[in-house]
This record gives sequence, C-alpha cells and structure tokens, in this order.
Amino acid sequence: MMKCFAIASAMLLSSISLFAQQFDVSGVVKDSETGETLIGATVITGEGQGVITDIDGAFMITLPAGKHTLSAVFVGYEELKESFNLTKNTTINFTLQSKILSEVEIVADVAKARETPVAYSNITSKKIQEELGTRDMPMLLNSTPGVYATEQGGGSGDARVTIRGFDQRNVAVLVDGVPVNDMENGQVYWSNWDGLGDITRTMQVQRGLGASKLAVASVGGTINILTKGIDQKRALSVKEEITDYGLNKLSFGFNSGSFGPTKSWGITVAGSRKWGSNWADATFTDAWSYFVKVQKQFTNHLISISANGAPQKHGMRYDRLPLAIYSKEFSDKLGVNSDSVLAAYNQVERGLAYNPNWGATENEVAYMGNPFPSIGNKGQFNDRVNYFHKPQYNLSHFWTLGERLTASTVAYMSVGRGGGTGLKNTIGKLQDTGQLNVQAVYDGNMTASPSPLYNDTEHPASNYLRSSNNNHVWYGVLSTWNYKIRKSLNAMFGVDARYYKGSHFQTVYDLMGADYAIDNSSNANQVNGTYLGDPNFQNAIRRVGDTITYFNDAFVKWGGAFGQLEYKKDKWTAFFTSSVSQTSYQRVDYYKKKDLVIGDSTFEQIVGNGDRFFYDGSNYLVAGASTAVAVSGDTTFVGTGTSQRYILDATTYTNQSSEARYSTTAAKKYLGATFKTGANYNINEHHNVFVNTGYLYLPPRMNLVFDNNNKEIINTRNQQVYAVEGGYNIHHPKYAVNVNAYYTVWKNKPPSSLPQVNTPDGTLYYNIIGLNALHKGVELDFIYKGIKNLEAEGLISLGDWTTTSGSTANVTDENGNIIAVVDFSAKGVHVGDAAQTQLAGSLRYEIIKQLYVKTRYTYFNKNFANFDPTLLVNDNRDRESWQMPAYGLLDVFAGYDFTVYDVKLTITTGINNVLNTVYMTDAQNGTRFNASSATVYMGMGRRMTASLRMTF
Amino acid sequence: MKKSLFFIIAFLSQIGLFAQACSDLIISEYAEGSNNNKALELYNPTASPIALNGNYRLVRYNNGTGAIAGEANSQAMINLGNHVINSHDVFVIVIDKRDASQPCPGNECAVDLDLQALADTFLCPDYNVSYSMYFNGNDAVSLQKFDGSNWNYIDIFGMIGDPAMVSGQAWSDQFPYDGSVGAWWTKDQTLVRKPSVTQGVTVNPTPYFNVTLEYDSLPNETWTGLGSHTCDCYVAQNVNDDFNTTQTSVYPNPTSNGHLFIQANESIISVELMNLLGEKLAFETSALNSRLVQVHTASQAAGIYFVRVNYRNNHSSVHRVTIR
Repeated sequence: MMKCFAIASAMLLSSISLFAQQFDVSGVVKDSETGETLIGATVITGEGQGVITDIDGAFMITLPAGKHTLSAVFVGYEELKESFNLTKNTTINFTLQSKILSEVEIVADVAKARETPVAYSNITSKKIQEELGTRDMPMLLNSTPGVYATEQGGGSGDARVTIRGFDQRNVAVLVDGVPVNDMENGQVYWSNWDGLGDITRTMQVQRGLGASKLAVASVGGTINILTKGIDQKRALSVKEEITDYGLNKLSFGFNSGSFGPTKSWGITVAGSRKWGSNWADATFTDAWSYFVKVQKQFTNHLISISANGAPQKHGMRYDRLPLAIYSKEFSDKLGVNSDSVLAAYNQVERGLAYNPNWGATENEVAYMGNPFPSIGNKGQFNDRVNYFHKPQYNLSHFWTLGERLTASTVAYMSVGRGGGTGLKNTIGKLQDTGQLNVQAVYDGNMTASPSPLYNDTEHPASNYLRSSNNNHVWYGVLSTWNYKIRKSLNAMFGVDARYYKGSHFQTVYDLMGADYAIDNSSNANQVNGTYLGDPNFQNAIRRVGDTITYFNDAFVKWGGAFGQLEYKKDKWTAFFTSSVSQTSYQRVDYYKKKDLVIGDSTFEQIVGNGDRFFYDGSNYLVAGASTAVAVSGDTTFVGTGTSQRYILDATTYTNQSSEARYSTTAAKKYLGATFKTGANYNINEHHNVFVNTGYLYLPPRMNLVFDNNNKEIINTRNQQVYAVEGGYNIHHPKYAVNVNAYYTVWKNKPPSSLPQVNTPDGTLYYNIIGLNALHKGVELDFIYKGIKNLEAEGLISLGDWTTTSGSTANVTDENGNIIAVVDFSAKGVHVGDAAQTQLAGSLRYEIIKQLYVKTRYTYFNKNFANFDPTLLVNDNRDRESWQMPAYGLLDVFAGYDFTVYDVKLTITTGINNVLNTVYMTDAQNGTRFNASSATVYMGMGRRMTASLRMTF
Repeated sequence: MKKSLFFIIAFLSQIGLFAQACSDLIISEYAEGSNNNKALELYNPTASPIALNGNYRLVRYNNGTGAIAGEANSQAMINLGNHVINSHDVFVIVIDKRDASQPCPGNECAVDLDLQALADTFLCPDYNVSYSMYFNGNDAVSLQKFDGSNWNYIDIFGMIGDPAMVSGQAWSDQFPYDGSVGAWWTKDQTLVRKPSVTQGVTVNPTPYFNVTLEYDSLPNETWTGLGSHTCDCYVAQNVNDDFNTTQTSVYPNPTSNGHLFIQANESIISVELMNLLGEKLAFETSALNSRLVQVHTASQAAGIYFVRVNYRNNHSSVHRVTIR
C-alpha cells in the first residue's frame, strides 16, 4: 500500500514539470546508524517540489538544469540539505542522522560528538542486531575500549561488566535516563533486562565520570540504554534465534511510529521468549520479556508510559573450580601439578562445559512445571537457580514551556521479586559423573524416620533447597528543568528523589522428598513460646514458601538536587555540573530480639521469645526463657544460687508488650556530592580536543553500613573519587580516531561485602576503610571506511590499575571494643577481576548489497585474579595475586537482507570463539597466589547462533 | 509398620549395649574451638592394643545431613589410617592446619600450637578432599569400622540427620537439646566423655541428642584433658591387679593441711578423689611420667575418702584417706 502510494506520487510529481532541459536526480536515503534504507522519506527541492522514497529507500526526481538544493526529511531524523548544480543525470545519496528526541536526550545525558567533553562509545541497534545473538547485552561492550565483560559461569543473564577496572557496582546503568543500579549494593543483574536488546536504539558507554548530572556512582563509567519510541519509523518484526547448544529465542517488536489523526500517538511493544540451555552443562533458561511504551504528543507536552520486565528462571554455574577440573592440559601448561589438584578436590578432569551445580534425580523437581517449551531435562536438579522478575514502570512527561524553558519529569516504580536457590547443606558428588548426589538427599528425606517431637507420620528434611529472596519496591522521581539563558548559555536544574525498600529473607524452596523442615532458632521473636512449659513444636515446622534463617528489610531514602551550566559558542563547549544528595539508610530485622522503647529509653535487641524484662525506671534485669523468676512482695528475683539478682518495684515487659518493636537501627544519613567540569574545543571541522575533571563524594553502600547482627558498622566513611581525563578526536567522513587518557584516584574503596570473623560470641563484621586505588590508562579507538564496502574498526586500551595503600581494619564487638586488628597491605597490587590490556579489531565487508560478513578479534591480557585484601597479611603483604593467562577470541558474523512480497527478511548468523580457544574469564585468588590454588570460571567454547528476522 | 520398626531398633540397641562394653574404640573427647581448633580424642577401652589397619573412619554429617547423603559423600569422611592405639591409651586427631603464615581469622588459619603439640595425627588438610574434622557445633560425627563388607557404627557423636540442626547452631543442655533453649554445649566447648561410658553409641539417638548424658563440659579451648582419658573400663579390668609390684604412698594420711601427695614407683596418669559413695570430687592429671601427684583437699569436708590412682601401665590402685 505504502509502496503503491509512493510510486504513484513519485510518478505524478515527476510528470508535472516537463519543460526546458531536464535531468534525473536519483539516490537512496539511509539511516546513518543502521544503514537501513528509509522508506517514505521526503526529498524536496527548495521550490517545494518533492518525492517520497520507495520501499528500497530510493527516489528519483527530474529537475531542470541549474542550481538546486535538495533536502531529505524524515520523522525522527535530522534534516539534511545538499546543494548542487545540475548539468547531467546525477546520483545523490542521503545518510540521515537519527534525531534523538530532546525528551530522552535531556533525561539521559547522552554525550554528543565534538560537543560533550567525555570519552564515550555508541553501540547502535545495527550492531546489536548483527552481533549480540542470544548473549547478554554487556558482552557487546567488549568491543569498546576500557571495558571487560564476562559471562561468568555462563548462566543466561549472569554477565558482568567492568569499565576501566571498576566493577559493575561502580558503573552507573541508566535505562532511558532512569538509574537501575541496586539501591543497596549497586549491582545490576542483566537477567532483569533481557528484553532490552531488541528495543534498544542506542547503548552509549561513557567512560570515566561521564556526562550524567545525577549523583550516581559513575566511577568507572556510565551505560546509557535508550529504547525506541515515537521518533522511530513504523515497523513490525518477528525474530527467531537458534543456537547449536540448545538455546532458543523467539521475539517480536512493533513500533507504530507516530499515528493518529494528528500523528500524535506512538506505541512500541516488544516481547520475547527464551528457553533451552546455555553452553555450559545444565544452565537452563526459562525466560520471558515484555516492553510496552505508549506515547502521546500534545501541543507542548509529550507524555509517555512504559512498562518493562523480564520474568526468568535460570540454572547457574555458580561454583568456581580449579582449572585442572576443566582442562588438565591447560592446567599442566601453566605449571600446575594438576594431578595433585584433582586429588585434592577429589575430582577428575570433567571438560570445559562441566557444571558442578546440578545432579540427576528420579524425583520431581520443584522449579520444573513450565510445560512449554520444556526446559532442561526432566530429573535435572540444579541447586543454583536464579529466578527474578523486576518490572519497571515509567511515566514521563516532557513539557515545552516556551522558547527557552523545557521540563522533563520521569516518575518510575520498580517491583522486584525473586531470589537464588542453594542447598541448605553441601552434598557430595558422584565420582563417575561429577554431578551432585541429589538422589541420596531424596532417598534420605523420603525414608527419614518421623520425629515424634514434631509429627508422627511426616518425614523431616535433613537437607533441602532454600531460596534467598531479595525483593524490593522502588519509587523515584527525576525532574529536569532546562532554561536557555541566551543562545550560548544553557542552565539546567533538577531533583532526584527515591524511596527503596528491600526485603531479604530465606524461604524453603523445595523439600526434596521430605514433608517439612525445622527452623527452631533463627527467629528470636517466634510468637508462642516454643519450648516453654507446654512445648509447641509445630511452631518450628517450615514448609515450602515459609521463611527461615533470616528476615530483614532495608530502607533507603534518597533526595538529591543537581544543576548544570552549559556554554556553547563557536568552537567551544564547556560545562559545569554539581549535585548534592542526602541518603538515609535504615534496617529492620524481624528475626532479632525486639527492642523495647520505654519512655525515652530504648533497649536494643533485648527481648526475644520467652524473655522477660524487669525495669524499675533506671535499672533492669532480663530473664531468659529458662531462667527461674520468683516474685516476693515488691521484689523480683531472677536466677538462682550465686547468679541470683533482684529488682524492686519492677514492671515486666516481653516481646509481646506494646513497648516492643522489631529491632530497628537508627536512620543513618550520609551526604553525597559531585562536581564535574569539562570543555571541548573544536580545532577545525575534523579535529577536536577535550578535557574534564571531577570529584565524587559518595556515601557508602547500604550493605556496608549495617551488618547482619542489625548493628551499625563503626567508622563508615564516604568514598572519594578524583578524576581527570583528556582526549583528542579526529572525525572525517571516511575515518575517525579517538584517543584519550585518564587518571582516577579512588579513596576509601569499599569491599564488596563486609569481611566477617567468627568468634565465640557469634559472627562479627568489620569494615575496611582507607583502602585506596589508582586507575590510569590510555585508550584509542578508530574506524576506517575508506575502501568501498569495507569497514575497519580497532581499539587499544592500556590500563594501569593498582591498589595504593594498606590499612588496618578493626574488628570490634557490639560494644565497640576492639577485639582484633587486621593489618593488611595491598600497596602496588594490581586491581583484580578486569583485564588491564585490551586489543580488538573488526572488519566488515559487504560482499554485495545487503550481504555482509564481519570478523572481530578481541584480546585481553594483564588480568589478575580477584582477591580479598584482608588476606594480604603477614608474609602475604603487598603480594600480587595470580595473573591469568591472556586470551584472544575470534568471532565471525554474517547476514543478508532481502525482501519477499513486501516482507523484509534478515538472516544473521554468528560464530563466537571460532577457534575454540580454551580460556578463563574470571578467577578468584587462592591461598598460594598461583594457578594451582585459584578457582576459575571457564569461557565458553565455539558456538553458533543463527537468526531469521522478518520485518513487515 | 513404623512402630514395629521402632521396636526392632530399640531391641537391637539393647543388644548392642550389652554386647559392646569396653570392646571397641570410643570418642573420649570432643573439642570445638575457634578457627580451626578442632580435635577428637579416641580411647581404646580394651585390654589389648587396637590396630586401625585402615578399618576405621570418621564421617561428619554437616548441619543435620542424614546418614544416606552423608555416607555417600567421600568428602564427608576420612580414613584413620594404620595407627595402633594401645590398651587404655588415647589417639588425638587434630585438623591439619599448621601454616603459621596464613591469616587468622581465615579458612587456613593455623591450629593453636598448644593443641598441635597434643596431636597424635593431623587429618583433613584440605576441606575439598575431606571435611570430616571441620565440625562446628551442629554436625554429627560417626566413628565407623569396616568388617570386611560393611562399615558399622562404633560410636556416634550427636544425632545423624537431626532436622533441627539444618538451621540450628548447636546441641544444648535443655530439652529438646537442639540449641533453641539452654546453653550450647557442642559449639565453642570441650566435651569429655564421662568415665562411666564404656561403649560407643551405635544406634543413632532419636528423636533428640541429649549431650549431657554422656559428656562433661569444659570451657572453650581447654586442651588439658587431651592425651589421656579416664574410663571405668580401665578400673573394671584391673581392680585385682597385682599390688605387689607397685608401691604407692599416700601422705600425709590423715591430712589436715589441705593437700595430699601420692607417690609411686611407676608413672601415674591421674588421681581421683572420691567420697564413700564413689562420687568423684577431684581429679588431677599428672605431668607426663610423673611419679608424684598432689591432690588439693582443702575444699573437702572432714571425713573418709578414697583415692584412686591410675597408672601409666594400665592399672590402678585405690587407697583410703582421712581428711581432718
């Protein structure tokens, strides 16, 4: 229909002017990012004569000889004009730059070439289509400098990414401008964002402090993911992806473009289903994703509502193991006495795809039950299953209040539900297969003698699958007001408010053949005295879904304001950004003994189940459930014999008193601030230089402020980051080069979680403060399009990332008394868990029109095992952790676009790790700081993906 | 069906009780301290040496793990090797963590030197191979013997597959003994088998394990009892031993100055002070090979008491003393 119209109108228009000498002007209009032809774009002369491009994006217009200006216009793209003197038949092609609506641009702080003074790379939707396959999105970032992304164990969605050596908690991730890093620990779980790959317009990686105005922890960088919307053209596509290792994905996407009587509506809908198994053994996945965005343009307003989520369940390869178990040959080559390692682990060589986190059973497995399509094998029991669903809802409003003032506001809500499973007890492995001996647990549980204490007929569990749940509710508002003071000066102001509640509790997930489990001591507040007088053992019985072990909530409240001044004139762009934020953390523990709040006095964690608290207004005595209490007149005697104490005129309180409340910490408040400034200077139309510097003063993360005893960690300090970065860019139509250097000082680098020490009084936690790091390096990337049909890209990133200090960590008891000092030193020790040297290159060759083949090679070196700094004591002070062997991976991609009956078909295929290189991506340093004591995740072997995409 | 099964088990256990007194190794001391300070002492209650010959093993059932899963897991067990344990002698097993450069606290933290000095053998250097000795309060341990075709329980500490220990931390001294009430006894404690225990527990105690029945509790990280064990098996067999070759003096007798000396012409292991009812009031272990032991009597009321002297050479003598 569209095609007929286009051709008809083109013919009609061209047939009007048949005077004087006439020549044909023909060409194609394309999208600069995707290279796709644009159907229905308008090509118009200065005189108002125009045509519309046909289904191949081609146009032809006949014009009289002489000077003309043609402009190509298409909704969502920057208008492009071309002037020429027509003396013969001429070909003029237009490559239009996609225009990001200012709505998104303002909220998301997208960096622009030759304007924003930060180092960044864009991953276009074209590249996602060509290379991503069924992998997690961060894996594509390995083709940008300074990034190290791995798939860890290889479970679907388990990828992690580091930028410039800073782990994911220090890389801010924003989806359409909304921050998504976990409010407690900073993590991003990519399995929650599985559906994004299909609807991403651009993924921009800003390295270093970046352009974000928000007070986000963008120490290493910022990943900005922008989704498609009203500004895109209408399209409906369906895609089927298959792999040679058993993972399948079916997805569809629909983008309405703008429609309606006034072209003011836009709808984007996408969904996907992923099922099957990933490359490593038994890493099944069972995932869905959905994305809906509805936009409506009013005169001065654009309102957009979106919902996005990816409910999923997947089996993980969780445990890291010594290399020898995966490949004895590789292990031997590194000088490891592989036989002794294998003997030590009571293992034999199992191969690269070995997954220690599953076993076979004849019994029904709880997480099965999704009948279509079937996942894994029946009887496959994964002990490490991750399941989560985190829908995110955004309501955004973009408002133009006049020539100078615009306002953009996003209100968002995200509700996360899910967790990760694990066996309550470790179990043995079968010698012949290396699988978990799951059947022994089922057999034991099903034949366990009923315990007369609990139930005469049911079988108690001696082991079972538990789930550690991590639910959250998160609301936020992000509002940005942009005022153009004068043409060259722009001011921006905004607020960022968030409320977050995270609930953490363990539940029984699968009883593995037993009827119930017992948890009699975790909950100090269990109602009804369990063992008092008339024992009621039923209270300790737990069944599937019941809470066990721990139960606490974290509350995070965040209020922030930010402002920016931007100056842009002639060859200069400069900006200054500042933000302040206040963060409040509070933790409530439902399983600890309750607090008593009596008048102005608060007694923390003082009354548990059965405890009695006797208080006379100034002194108190506490009697446990089994402590003898005698009352004589006005005197209460507690205890017997020499330990007997008494109190006069005391009031009695229990955990059921109205004065009792769940153990609640004080709200801990932290001030945060960021300052960033930078400038870009365009030397001429091809060369520009930029520099930026900044200071971040970041609050410690929630999980480092309170410990599992619901006590505040003494001596928490803000992190401080100082950074400076400079770069030089060359932009030519045929080639572009970016070079930049950075220097980042990080003070009070936080540990990933609180180190702990077990003492007779229980587990104590301590904080590491004063651990500093220095990350410096240079990055270069280039693209070259000088040869017809050939595109070459390359990058080099050389990092030098080290820890620069030692520190002492004081282990204190709950009264603040120092009971041990851990004196460690990590001076000059390389930062682990990220490759410091990265080289990559790619060649893309278009054999014939729309048929391309592409190869990419990525090389990583200087990759040190992750280490725990508190182990660098005694003889191991300042000791370098194990350096993993370098590796290089070759990928090949090919694709072909063609059209059958108005349906555009795209076939793509990709082979990752073509050479079947044996390599490891992640390692944890071992006690001997070498290859034999390290535990690793192996990278995946050669694997192939193919996809067919139909676009209507 | 289930009830009859219970009955049979109960019946079998009765047989076991009588059949096995002083007949095979028992766990005579259990030490669960901080870090890797874990030790087990085995005692030979028989009149003959016992050669382990690879026929004895320890199995640890971590956190309530049941017998089926525990005994199917090679990591849960360790063979005790080929040592010989002399009659009425003990065998002290300590975790093999002796690298002083490893950080403490930490997984590889070295065992206290005092405890290392008492070890007859070090086992389980690598957790991944065997975690039998890494008990931490809520783990049952069985001592098993191979009869040529099967491994049989010789002694059981704790309750194998106690479902309360899956979440619980330790067994305690009050009903239902699962740590939910009362003082924890199996964590951060040293436990000594009562002298009256003459054979191991060969039937898993259900539905609960009352640790106080067969064990006495000593404070955390008390190692002094390791290296010797007092057991009634010893007296029972040697009560009529020849007194002729052993000459023992107990002086001053009667005593009024708060102590007694026991001197013999051979090495003394320990000396017990008992009242006329046979209740043990004081217990002194001697320094290695000592022939002179002092017993404090100041806290005892005036009256007639017995002193039992246990000699290194597997016999004992009983003497009457008067405290004034």
